[in-house]
Amino acid sequence: MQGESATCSRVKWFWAWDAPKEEKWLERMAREGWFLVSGGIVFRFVRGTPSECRYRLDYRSETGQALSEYIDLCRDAGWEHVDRFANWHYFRCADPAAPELHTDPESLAASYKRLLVLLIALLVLNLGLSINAHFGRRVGIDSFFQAIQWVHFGVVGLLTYGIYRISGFIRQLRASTRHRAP
Amino acid sequence: MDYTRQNFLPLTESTFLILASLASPKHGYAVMQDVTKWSEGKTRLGPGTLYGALTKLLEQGLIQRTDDPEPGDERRKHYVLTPRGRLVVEAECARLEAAALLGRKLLNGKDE
Repeated sequence: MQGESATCSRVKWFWAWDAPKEEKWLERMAREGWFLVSGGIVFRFVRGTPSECRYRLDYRSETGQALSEYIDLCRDAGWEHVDRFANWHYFRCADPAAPELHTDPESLAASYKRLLVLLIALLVLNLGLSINAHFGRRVGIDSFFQAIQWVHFGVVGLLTYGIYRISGFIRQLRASTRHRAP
Repeated sequence: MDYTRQNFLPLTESTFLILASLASPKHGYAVMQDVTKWSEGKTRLGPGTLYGALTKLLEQGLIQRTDDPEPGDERRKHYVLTPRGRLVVEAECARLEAAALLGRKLLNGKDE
């Protein structure tokens, strides 16, 4: 399909709680000889020799010095930092003997808990704005405020759903053994 | 000392190995290698898990960053036990020794 071209792009949407699905898809692409260059929503790949490798998505709240320290440690341990999309980091490992990025499900769950806190904060903020929009409305521009309220309604709904799914994902992580030491 | 005991003991196996490894200054990857070696491969620490553990130990004041890396290795961050961290490891060693001693005594039927 891609013929002789050395790069390809795919547009795909994955929810935060679908990280394992996203990782498996990237591993399938590598098996077909396409290696991730940048991820997020538009995924760019470069052609290479088809091979088995592991991809892991890591949600990190570190920035600056702490983040580069973390990336250095991962590189030492055999995990190449491929790209970041907001706070999500794509790591790849071609060495089957290298340990998982997270050998304890608790440490992975802890990073998703930070994402959960962020979403809850956004939900509270949006609820506040909705209430404010409702009681602060003035006559004459009703339809405008109604539109805003619908947007808020959608955002609040999406955030609530996200919080629900990520809590479920964290529970699932804690129960899983995938990230435990071999 | 009681404060130390109440708050940190008993240590999990991986925390114990991480702290013991940091009796001398080391970078994160050296700690990973130490833990794998000492546990004969039974406990393996991934970089994500180790980084989380190091962050927590830094917050608890059991380890600290150190500015004297080996020459030519300035890129990597080095960590070392603090005096409090040393006390905790010593207390854990004493606890394990006492438990081992008691266990042996009871197994040999010498509880008198």
